[in-house]
Amino acid sequence: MFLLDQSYSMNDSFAGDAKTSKAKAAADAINDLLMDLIVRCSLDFEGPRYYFDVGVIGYGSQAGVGPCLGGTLKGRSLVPIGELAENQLRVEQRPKMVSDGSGGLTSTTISFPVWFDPVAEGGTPMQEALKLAAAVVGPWVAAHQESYPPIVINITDGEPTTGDPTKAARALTSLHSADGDVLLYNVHLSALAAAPVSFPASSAKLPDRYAGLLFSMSSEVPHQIREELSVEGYPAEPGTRGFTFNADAWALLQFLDIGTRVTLGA
Amino acid sequence: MEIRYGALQEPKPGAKADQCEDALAYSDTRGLVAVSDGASNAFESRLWARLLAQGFVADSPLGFGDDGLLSWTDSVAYRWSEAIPWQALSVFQKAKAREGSASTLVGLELTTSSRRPTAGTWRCLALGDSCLFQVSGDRLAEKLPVSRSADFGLHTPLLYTERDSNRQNIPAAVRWHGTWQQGDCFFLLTDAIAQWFLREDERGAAPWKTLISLDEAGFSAFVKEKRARHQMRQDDVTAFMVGLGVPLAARRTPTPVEVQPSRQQAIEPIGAVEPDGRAELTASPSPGRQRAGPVPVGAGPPGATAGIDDPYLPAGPPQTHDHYGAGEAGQGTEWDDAAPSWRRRAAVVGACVLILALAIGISRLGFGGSAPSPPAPPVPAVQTAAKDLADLLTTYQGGDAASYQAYEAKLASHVLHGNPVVMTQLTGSGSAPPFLFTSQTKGVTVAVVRSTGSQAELYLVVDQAITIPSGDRGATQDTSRRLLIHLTMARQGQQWLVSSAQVRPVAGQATGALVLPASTS
Repeated sequence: MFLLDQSYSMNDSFAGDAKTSKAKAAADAINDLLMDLIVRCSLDFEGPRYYFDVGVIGYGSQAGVGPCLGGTLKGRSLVPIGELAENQLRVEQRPKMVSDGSGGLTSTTISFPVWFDPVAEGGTPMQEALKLAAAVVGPWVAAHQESYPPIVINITDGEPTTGDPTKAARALTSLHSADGDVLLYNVHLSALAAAPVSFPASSAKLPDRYAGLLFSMSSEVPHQIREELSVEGYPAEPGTRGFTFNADAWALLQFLDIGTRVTLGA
Repeated sequence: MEIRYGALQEPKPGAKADQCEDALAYSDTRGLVAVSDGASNAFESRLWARLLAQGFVADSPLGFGDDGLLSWTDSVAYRWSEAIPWQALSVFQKAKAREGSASTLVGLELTTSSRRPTAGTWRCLALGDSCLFQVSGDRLAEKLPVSRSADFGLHTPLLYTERDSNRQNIPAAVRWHGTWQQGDCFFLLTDAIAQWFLREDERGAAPWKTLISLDEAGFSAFVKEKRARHQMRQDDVTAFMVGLGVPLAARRTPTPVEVQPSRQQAIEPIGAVEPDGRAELTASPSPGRQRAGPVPVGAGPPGATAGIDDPYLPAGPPQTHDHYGAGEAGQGTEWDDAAPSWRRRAAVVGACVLILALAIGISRLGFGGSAPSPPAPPVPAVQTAAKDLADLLTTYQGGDAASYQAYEAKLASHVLHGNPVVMTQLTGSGSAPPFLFTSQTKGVTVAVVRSTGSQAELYLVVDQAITIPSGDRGATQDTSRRLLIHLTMARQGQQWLVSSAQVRPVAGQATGALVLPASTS
């Protein structure tokens, strides 16, 4: 489940890059990850295998706090991955850098399905969003005790306007399936041109208090994800949390990709 | 002495039998057995595992070095790519399919002599964590390639549909051989049950006694119980056993696996893909296909035409199972990345390669096997098609994005179904326009390795003059190079189209399979 900050401040440029707003970076990342999730489930000539339910909750827009999938999926808080595959707003053709097979990168055009457009218009009611997430995820884990615990990814610029969200975050991560507690990852998109930090084990290198707050709300990553992280070259010390600060577009996608690598069977 | 074959299979929890990604194939007439375990996170790994197991039995790569195995895997990968209906795939499926597929493979060959049928030799090939165990004298005599239960992990080498991945993984292949005698039993097991087997052996139990005593129903209950007790991982489980004078409770093969025939390409396959699309697991207890009881290794059942009556080999008219030229005669050395000394000897090597390729072509065409002759091969048409392709492929006059797109579209019209994997092989990974180079084909030589009415395999040697930028002031440099191109082509109507391609610069350029120089912009 994604929690997407749609507050006015998401209009600001991202990590000092005047051309990209935080809202655009967040929408791109979600679209990219949804594509990636469906691709991961597309294993044969049939439609995607039903490995995930996906939900997106927006907070801060004129619409307030609520599910924000669009088109035919409007109003739904959780959607099976197969329905997501069949219902996009549109499919764009975008340039993408890919390996050229000889160690370099080269540009090619790829189909880029779009489920979300950037929105940036109100305050930042983060704790209300976390409460709504708990209200959606709670019944789900009750009905899916054998499943991998839900992963909630909160994408925000980190300046809550309706009070400290810590308590709501705790309530969310105390929900659990038989396989473990609900995982809350926080993606902090800052306007500061500060060095990116991904999967830290401490808040020592974080530049501001919002980052510290989001770090403290983030779950420790499970053992299996830590193994994946060390394969990818991260320090992956004990205590590593699902938190990233100012990750650029590529690092953000990598964060989401690694953080959601659930074993789908050997 | 009776030789018994027994297969036991249980899909992962929640999966139906036809969703099992393990595959097995065997031929009792040839004494060949193979098991493969398709990677769950790869596209159509069921199909890939099946083609690998079937390929092992139909056209065994035993005896090949790494280069030969690479070429053999290429030929199987070609069948996989052919069976994918690329045009019908969704955006998501296409993205996944482009990543290719992956699977383990373990294969065994048993041989004996007619003088002493109660003993013989074996050899095996294993890549990945599917295992071969030999039990002899009531002890575990051989365990390959994994020998300790603690050594099963997340990351195992695999055979891929992508050549570059195979180049990295094939050196991990384990080849081994040994002897067997009456009373021995061989087990080919996929990882979950192989790990259980080793763990049992490590604690002094005799897991082989359990497996040879189980029939299908008993096996299903046994696996479910082990899973419930966390003594076996939740995974597809396959056990294939060969009892040499040892009775097995498991006699029959598991439930048939159906591959949707309607989605298969309407192209006659070379080799082991069955025309009706049925997988090798088909138990098919039709009268003509029932095993006629025990069969001596290598001798063939009474009354059976060797190989043809085997349910694990293609049905239909006899087919030749020629090794591909590169794998057999050349051991694939022509595909190697060139060593520095090749640079100096490029011309000599190029000529040798061509002579070799031509020689293979001549021998294949002139003195083909004993199988009934296929329809007269339209070699000139194939040659013309290949030459046209080579001209187009290697002649490019530079230009902007639009001219590159036009070029690519023209190229795609020479490729079966516009198959993106083949396009990638031909052009690199879609290099970035604009191209600042030009290239001109100076000569193309075509050697047809083999050709039927609908399929052909050929080599091209292409000499190119190329002009590439030199320095940053718009200066250019003229140079030349020679490319070796290995193609398989398929006929559609009157047209011959490329169905797979491998391109290698003969003169040892550092870059891989690029026909066009990488972006120089």
